[in-house]
Amino acid sequence: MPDSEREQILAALRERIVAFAASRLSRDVAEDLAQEVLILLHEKYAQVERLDELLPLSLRIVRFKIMGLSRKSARRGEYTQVSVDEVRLPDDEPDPAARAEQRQMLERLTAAMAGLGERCKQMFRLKIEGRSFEEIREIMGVASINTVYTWDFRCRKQLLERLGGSWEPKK
Amino acid sequence: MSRDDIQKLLGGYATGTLTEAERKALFDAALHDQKLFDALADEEALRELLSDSYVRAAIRQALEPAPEPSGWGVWLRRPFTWAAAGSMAAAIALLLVMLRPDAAVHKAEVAFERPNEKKASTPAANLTSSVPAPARQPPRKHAAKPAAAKPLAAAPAPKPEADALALRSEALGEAVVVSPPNPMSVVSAFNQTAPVVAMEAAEVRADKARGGLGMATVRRAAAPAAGATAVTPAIRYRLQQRSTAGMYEPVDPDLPLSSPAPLRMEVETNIPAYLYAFEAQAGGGYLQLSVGPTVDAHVRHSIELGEPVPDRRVILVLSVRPQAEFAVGTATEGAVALLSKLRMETAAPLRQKSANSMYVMGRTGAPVLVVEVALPRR
Repeated sequence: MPDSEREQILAALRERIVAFAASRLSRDVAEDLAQEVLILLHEKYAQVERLDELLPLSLRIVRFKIMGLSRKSARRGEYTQVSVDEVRLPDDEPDPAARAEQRQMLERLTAAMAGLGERCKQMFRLKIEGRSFEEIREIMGVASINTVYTWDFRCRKQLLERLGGSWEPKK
Repeated sequence: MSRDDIQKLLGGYATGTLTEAERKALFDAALHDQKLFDALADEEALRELLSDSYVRAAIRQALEPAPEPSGWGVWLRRPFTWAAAGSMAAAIALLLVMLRPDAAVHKAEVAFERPNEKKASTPAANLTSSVPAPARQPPRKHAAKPAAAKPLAAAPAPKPEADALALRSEALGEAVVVSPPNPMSVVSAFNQTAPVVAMEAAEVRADKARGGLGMATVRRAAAPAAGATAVTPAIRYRLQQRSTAGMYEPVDPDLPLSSPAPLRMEVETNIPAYLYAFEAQAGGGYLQLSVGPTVDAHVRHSIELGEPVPDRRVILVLSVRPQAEFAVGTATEGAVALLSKLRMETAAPLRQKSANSMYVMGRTGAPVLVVEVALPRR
């Protein structure tokens, strides 16, 4: 992929990251965070070029950094920059605090799913089993894949509403 | 796709449901749409949670439909049973009032006791023949189908036979690709699973002691019901390759690979059974790969395959009984002999491709399914 194409993707990503982070943090902090993400993508992941890899990777880094910021500011009461070397992607081993959060999220999720209708439960079960939307369309006996998209969208919306609008518990 | 349709793909991101084309459409749109980007970023928490296989197993268990009742439970759950019993009781009470006491008692006894007939086993069967039989209620759409009628006992290997539905042979010369108009597609056969049954408390404890998840309900094909059909053994597999970002992405098993990155195979069976995997070696031997052997239905297992090399073949063996020769973990002489025998004697399976997944179906009632996979080359 030509450098210019990757640079264009990164420029657009930076804009999106700043706006997303600014909705949760101050503007200055959001700008710094976006800059760190871009530095990481340049230094540690220079070989990642395609959008379908860059975007999810940047989302993981952004989430990791925001979580790191909130934990550090909770401990020290101030914002502290997270060092590039502290980002341990793609190691997926969670620390104890993350494990506790994971357990809490799972409990909330399963409790909310219990209150869904049968179609939504089947939809989520099939997705968790690794089916594609096309396979789900066939299993559920639906003629059009757009119907499956619509059902999934509505089921996701219902589930989010039952969770108070967020997958994560409010802190 | 319209913007609305692309937005509907959001739910497939965290669960890994999207095809390559759907991911591309979603990410392309999110790059230029702040609201969509923000929604995608918010999905990251869920995606991270669901990347844990324990979490996925726990959610699957929570979403399993309740086991179907059997025997008395079926009759007692039908409202018509109780309505009919109530009506009959009212009719009998009316008879007792209207007729002479001794005649009423005699008629009631005749109604309920017919010494020459077999004693009924359900309350509904005690009613006189004037009451119509309860109508069969259609099964719930999402309910699991009844279990196999016959136990999956060892049967002689069926002779290979010409399959009228075969459209072309693959290079292996053994498997055939099934295309419609077979109404019972391989994908449908794969999804035709054994019913969910509740595990006994002792079984749950034993499973936990072995390091398992201790599921309260499992899919079990071991309790056949009369009149029901056997579940056809089937395997679903897909190949994944590690991307430059360190994540495994699905690849088309029919196309050459564009990267030397390590490969992984995800395998899923439709019945609880024993799964063994081998790699055929150039000199005629086999290398046993690490998977199973006990597998539950519809649980994905990963087999690490390392970097792609030319002419690699993986052989999967799905067996309803444990194969002692394969239990050692290395391909001993006995294991090699048994594997060669199974490859020769097991009838050619049927295959069907859907998205990047390959579905392979054995013969109904066959105790063993052997699947050969030629790995794509660079």
